[in-house]
Amino acid sequence: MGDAASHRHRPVPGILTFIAADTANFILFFGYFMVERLHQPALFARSAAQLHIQLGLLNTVILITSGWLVALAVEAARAAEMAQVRRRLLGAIGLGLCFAIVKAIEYGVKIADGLTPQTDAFFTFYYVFTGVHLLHYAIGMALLVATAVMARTGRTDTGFTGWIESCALFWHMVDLLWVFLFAMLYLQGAR
Amino acid sequence: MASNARSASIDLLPNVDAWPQAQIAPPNPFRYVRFCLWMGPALLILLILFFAILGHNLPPYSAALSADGIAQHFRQHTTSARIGMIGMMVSGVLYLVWGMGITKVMEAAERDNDVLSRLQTWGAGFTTLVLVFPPAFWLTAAFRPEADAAILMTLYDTGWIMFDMVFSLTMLQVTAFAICFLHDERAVPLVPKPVSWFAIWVAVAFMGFCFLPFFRDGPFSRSGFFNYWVEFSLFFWAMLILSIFTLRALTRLQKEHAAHG
Repeated sequence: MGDAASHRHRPVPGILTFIAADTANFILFFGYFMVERLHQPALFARSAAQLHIQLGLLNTVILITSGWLVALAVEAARAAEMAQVRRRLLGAIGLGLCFAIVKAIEYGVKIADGLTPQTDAFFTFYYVFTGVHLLHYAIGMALLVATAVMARTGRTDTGFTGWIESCALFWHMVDLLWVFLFAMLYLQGAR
Repeated sequence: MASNARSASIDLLPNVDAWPQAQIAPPNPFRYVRFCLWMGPALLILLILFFAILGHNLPPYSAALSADGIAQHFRQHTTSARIGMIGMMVSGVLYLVWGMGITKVMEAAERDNDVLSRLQTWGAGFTTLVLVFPPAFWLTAAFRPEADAAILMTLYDTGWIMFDMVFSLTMLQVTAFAICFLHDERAVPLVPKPVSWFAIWVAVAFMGFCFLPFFRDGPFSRSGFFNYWVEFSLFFWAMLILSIFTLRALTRLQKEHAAHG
């Protein structure tokens, strides 16, 4: 009962302000994309069909699994099991690196095929949206690495728990945005 | 004799200890700071007038426009462009004054050292240059509107690319601001944490300017929906929001200073 009450009164992490603003920005992105798609449905469908759904799906699985490991690391941090925190974070970082490798392969193949941001409106959105997402991913990875380094020092204070919770929230936002991007960019070309 | 003369000359000096206490004003660490902070909103108004309205940058001319189309702007609006750019170049320095006001508020929140407030000052100082140099290119174009259209277009493009692409300087300023106030360990922080997170979001969102050189039209070009109305406008929103909350923090600091000396 006491625990529940104290949990209810825990301050909302400030990073939620960032996440709310960023999500609003992405909603604008998605809204703009949908309006443009309504104007040129054939072009968007034709271009989307040139994306590799398998690679997009692989990256979705990678990010969701990585997010799950980060959630487990938060649980371990709350229980002050720092060895577990480190292991789970390293797993999340390792999987996260796979995301970048898959993305680099995908970009390389697309550019080799002559599909660049200038190709058409769809690929403009594709490169910009995935590029902005990649920036968020890079920030998230840097935060995870920093958290893993902090966990090495064996700190178990409440400040660390707050920090890892904020990083986990950010990483989940990176997951969530990718899920929307995958559905919006890749799946519309699926037959 | 000599001793008497020295004693007489000393007697001519006023006895400082006898001065009424009220005549010696106690030091005021916040003198001029409110003035500095108000220069943010003042500059905001001046930029809307000189840069946006008189400079016809609401939004700027599309990068997809031909050289003749852009040259036409300088030939049609020569005088207003000249006045606008002169006003922008003259008033741009207020950004540094505003930044110094923020620095003084940040110093009250810093505990270990002044690295962040100094970075913020430098970020504000360099951003001031961004407000002063690009209008020089636009003013040059307005100064010789009869010049070749391709030259006028190049001057216009150079000004805009310089204006948008040096966003890292403002990123430095707002990030230093945010980190400083996120580490404020007061029970009630001087600047609310969501404001600091907003500043960090602005810094990250500025990275969107990286797309500018790749597009001449569409939502990510310099006059496009995202580049201009979302990302570029964040610079002005950040000025407004940071001004409001640093002014509030200053009021609190002044009250604390008055209460505790």
